Amino acid sequence: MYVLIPLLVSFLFAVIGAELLRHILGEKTDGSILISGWALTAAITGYIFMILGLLHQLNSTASTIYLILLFILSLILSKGHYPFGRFFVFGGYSSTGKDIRIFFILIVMVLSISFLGALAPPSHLDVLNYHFALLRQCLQSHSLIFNPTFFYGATPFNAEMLSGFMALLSDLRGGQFIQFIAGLLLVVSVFAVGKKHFNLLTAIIASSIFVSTLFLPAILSEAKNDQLLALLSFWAFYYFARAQIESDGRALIVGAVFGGLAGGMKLYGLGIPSIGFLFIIFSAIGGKTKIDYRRIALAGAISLILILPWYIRSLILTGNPIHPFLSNLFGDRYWDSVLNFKFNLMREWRYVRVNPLQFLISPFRVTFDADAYFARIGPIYLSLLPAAILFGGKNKLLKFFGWASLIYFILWFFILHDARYLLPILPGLSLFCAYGAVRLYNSGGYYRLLISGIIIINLLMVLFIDFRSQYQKFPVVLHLESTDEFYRDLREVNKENLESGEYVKAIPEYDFLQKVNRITRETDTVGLFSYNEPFIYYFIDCKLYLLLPLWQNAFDFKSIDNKDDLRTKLNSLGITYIITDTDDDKTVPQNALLKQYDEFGSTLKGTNIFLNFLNSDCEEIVSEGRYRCFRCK
Amino acid sequence: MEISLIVITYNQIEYLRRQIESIKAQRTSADFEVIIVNDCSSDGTADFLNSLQKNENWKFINNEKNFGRAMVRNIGADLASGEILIFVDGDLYLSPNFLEAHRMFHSNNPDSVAVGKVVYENGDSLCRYLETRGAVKMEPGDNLPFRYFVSWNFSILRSAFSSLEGFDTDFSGYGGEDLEFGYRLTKASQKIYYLEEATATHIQHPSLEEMIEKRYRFGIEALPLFMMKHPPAAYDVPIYRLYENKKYRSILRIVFSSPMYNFITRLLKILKIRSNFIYDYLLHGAVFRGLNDSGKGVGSELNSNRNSIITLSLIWFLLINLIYFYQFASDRYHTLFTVIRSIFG
Repeated sequence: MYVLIPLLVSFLFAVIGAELLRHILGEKTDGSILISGWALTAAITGYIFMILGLLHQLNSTASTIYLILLFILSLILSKGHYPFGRFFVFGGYSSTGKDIRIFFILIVMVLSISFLGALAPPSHLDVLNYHFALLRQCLQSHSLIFNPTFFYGATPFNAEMLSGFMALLSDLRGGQFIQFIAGLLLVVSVFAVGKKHFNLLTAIIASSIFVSTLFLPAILSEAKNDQLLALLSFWAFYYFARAQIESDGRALIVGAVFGGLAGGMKLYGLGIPSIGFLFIIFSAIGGKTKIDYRRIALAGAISLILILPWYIRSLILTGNPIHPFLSNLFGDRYWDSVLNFKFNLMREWRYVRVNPLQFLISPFRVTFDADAYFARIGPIYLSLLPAAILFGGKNKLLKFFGWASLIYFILWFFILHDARYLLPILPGLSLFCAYGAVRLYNSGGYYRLLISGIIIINLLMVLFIDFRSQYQKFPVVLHLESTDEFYRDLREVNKENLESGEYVKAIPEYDFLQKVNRITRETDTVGLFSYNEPFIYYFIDCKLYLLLPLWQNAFDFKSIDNKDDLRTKLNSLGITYIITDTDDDKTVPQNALLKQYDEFGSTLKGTNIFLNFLNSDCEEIVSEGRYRCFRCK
Repeated sequence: MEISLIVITYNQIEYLRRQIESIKAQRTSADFEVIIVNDCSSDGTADFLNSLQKNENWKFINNEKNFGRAMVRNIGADLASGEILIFVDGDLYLSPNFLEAHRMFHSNNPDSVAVGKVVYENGDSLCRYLETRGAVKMEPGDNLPFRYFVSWNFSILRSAFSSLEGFDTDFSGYGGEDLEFGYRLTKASQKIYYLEEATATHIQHPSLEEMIEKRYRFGIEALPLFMMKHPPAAYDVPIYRLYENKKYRSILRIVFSSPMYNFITRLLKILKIRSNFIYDYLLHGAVFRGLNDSGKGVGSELNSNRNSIITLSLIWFLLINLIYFYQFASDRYHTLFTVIRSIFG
């Protein structure tokens, strides 16, 4: 069911979205409009479920009614046939060379392995932590809740609401699968635009380049929101480009809609509409586009309307529209930027220095140095960029993609520092690079052999990495082991080096948490005094708060002067159980740490009162290894 | 008559007024005449010249059609009766001892040609750059190579000019006629010297875009014509020498290729970065691009650049990938790599 329902929903998404876009753009239905239509309806669904959450209606009945409405809407809107199969008309490939067919087969193999991985229970720790843990609590309480102690407790989560819709219809694996479909459609988008604006060869080479992004397999089968954001970003750039090139006001409106949806998907998605409008406004000032300012203002207003709900929600809940970032600037109620920064320093987070030299070498570092940006994108982009720049400068669509990518890359270098955040520009960049690759490829002879050979080696490498990332999931997918067994032995893909595809040891407290779940009831609230939070976030069935002295001030240790203060605070949050992981020596401020960062000193007293409270006023009920669960007396 | 000052002008009426003032202010005991040749200007130069008082020492000619600089100078020289011919462009004004300096030079240096100094009035960085090019780079008293001969301020004995039959009128576009004339001077054993004392000031300031356009036209029209007329001499022009060398030509085609050249030009325009090195790149680049576009056996620029671009792109492509795969193999699979290396020694 968790495969069939997302597929059915995807079909409805594509039909409804395509008809909407067709109506706005006045174009015939083709492959590219089907995919962008899917993205449009999927993202709008996120907004509808946000509203349902606000109305405390996140339940199966509402989801089923919504599904029926989608079905009826598709029947009403549906006109003509939909060329779903036209992407893969194999007759067209028979005229291509053997190497092109090998590209195609390798792409299909990579996507197939990721497809198998997407069928497994959610296992990526980022997903369990940020994407599903809060969503799970929302679904349990049937409303859009806010947990001040969760790192991204109030940030936009459009993609998660879409996952929630699927989860209500089947289970969370359905939510994971719909995100896989978004990733799959991202690859198909590159192909569709390549085929529409260039030719089959360019489309296949662009898809090959995009799929050979080394960290792609690690996130493709996971319920992360990067895929949907990248999909919306790609189409936003595409329609902005068309608006600029053809002076098409209607394309601008569609671009603004996609840009706004991307901006509401994730904080760094705000860069997408900004870049799009930057180009349009410059074109309008330079007289290069005939779109008038009123139309641009209207498009801007549409983008803003789509962006604002998530940020207003965050502003109301925390006092900071972009919680938890720039919290000092906005006076965030739950976050302290300085403390957080010091905490990250303490955790020895690597970061890249921001200076002109580092910027110049950043394309090389993100290609060769996995440690710098937590992953590598692979050599194919850097190696093809010069040819693309030299050959592709005259194509206006590619020129737009090239410049937009460059501006995004500059923003990325200054703000983001994580290779996977480059995903929104990589589809466009792969088309840009493919243009140069095709010119080299068409030179014939050894040139063609060389280009083909290297693309095939890159794809093989990604296939290998994909296999390494997914093989652990195969037994549970093939029902050779149970879900319990799968989680008990869970190891996660090394998130600090995504492109390696290798597994690192995950947190082995699954049995401990099952015991806690048997003792506690769903109405109880657990306080977690540990940094190994992701695993626990997801697997604890009852409500959960994070009690961390060094990280943030959601549970304010600074203001605790005695046990009564502490008890009052715990009671106000309704905390009846406390889980600790005291072996993690970074939980409690150490002397060396206090010497280095005296900001933590103010939390020390409260922390000691808390630890004394655990030993004297609480009863230990479950213990396994370093993990202990206490019941507050 | 001792000196004939030949002024050529084309749409420079305002500058010409100032020049005439500077001619009237010359401090010289020599007997001189002034011949102003208007090459069919459309800015009212003809009316202005007609309004001036003519006499035997001031002659004005208005061409009915535009002949170009080479022909105009020859027309002026044909009318001249002086022993020394001094040629100047119409947008220069002359220092008070200008004529005297040229006269003194020829009395001391028979069989020689003097190239006078030209500076810019309140010049910008481009003007300062142009002031440091050409003959200025030579030591005082050095015999200049023919490629440094420029015709905007020079003097020559009438007999020498006549024996060379003046400028080659085949050079009707921008530039090239002085390069060619300089070459024939050298061939006729005439010595060319730089005469710092004969200073003229350029009133008009060229913009970078104009200079690039002019240099491009020089590269596409004048230089190929010069190459055709004097094949061995062309190798003394450095940019042509590089162009003829296949090894350098491939590299320069990349360095001066349209995307790169246009990108750098626009970038410099935005950033307003100015230096001699940049002007060298832009102006020599313009000549090279013109030469390359002239179609001297290499076809259009796109086709001529294509193979070089493809080759260099592929080298880059291969290099990045090889480094990556080596690193990938040695970093991640060092055990396997060590085994393979031990097997193959």
